[in-house]
Amino acid sequence: MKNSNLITILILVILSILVAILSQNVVLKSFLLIVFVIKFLLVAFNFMEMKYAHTFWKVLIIIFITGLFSTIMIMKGAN
Amino acid sequence: MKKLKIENHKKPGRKMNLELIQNKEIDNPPGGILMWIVIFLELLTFGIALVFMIILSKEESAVFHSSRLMLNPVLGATNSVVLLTSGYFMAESVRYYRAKNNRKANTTINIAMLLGVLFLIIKGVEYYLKITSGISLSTNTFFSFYWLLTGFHYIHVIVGLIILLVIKRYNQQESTEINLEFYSAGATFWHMCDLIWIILFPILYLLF
Repeated sequence: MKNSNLITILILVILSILVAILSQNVVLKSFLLIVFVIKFLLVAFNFMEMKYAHTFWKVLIIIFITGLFSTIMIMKGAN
Repeated sequence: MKKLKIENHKKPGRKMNLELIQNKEIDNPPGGILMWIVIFLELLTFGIALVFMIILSKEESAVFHSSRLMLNPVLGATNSVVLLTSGYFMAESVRYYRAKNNRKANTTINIAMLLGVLFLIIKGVEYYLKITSGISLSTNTFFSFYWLLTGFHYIHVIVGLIILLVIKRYNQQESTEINLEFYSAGATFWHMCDLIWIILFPILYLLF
């Protein structure tokens, strides 16, 4: 059986390195924020095992992170 | 009835199945409901602070941009990888503890703690470089937020390490349901440090 934790950490490390490389150049701010949302959800759902939780908690965590992401996008006016 | 997809376990025992089924209940998320209330309060606090920071940056956009350029994104990204890897080993430790493999659970929690200490060292180096450059809490608005937000996160990592030290003693005991609940709660707090850093890093180091 495949270990989903291992796959998750590989994706997280690749995304972190990608962001670090791209941030050296001119990069779309919205891309950085989308990556942070993906990383956040990967940690919450896989490492914190939210995938096994009741739908209420899953929805709550998704609402929180998308709410924060949208607020930052609107306030910052990221393109 | 939904079929639970159980992975990460070569031979999941009945107790593990029972625990994961219990996690499907609304009042019993993985790590415990109290821990998740704490997590949401913490995330809201950091989230609101970051939104205020962005609002204030509108008035001093040049100061925020020049200050952000004074931060080292390579150190920040390195710390991201270190903390996330630590989170991976902690998740593995819970998995081994659940499977009653205490030896591997102990090894992985030790690695998670070592990486946590490495995070503190790297952040400490960054703080030292800032202090020696004369950058303090009162330098400007950006650095006031920088010191407060990363400082609070630093304290959370220290508290997380203490919690991991405490739950490590369960490795010497039998993996009962109560012990597993404490073990899982400690791991959840540790992952919260990951979540906070995932939010802080792009906004402080890359956004402005």
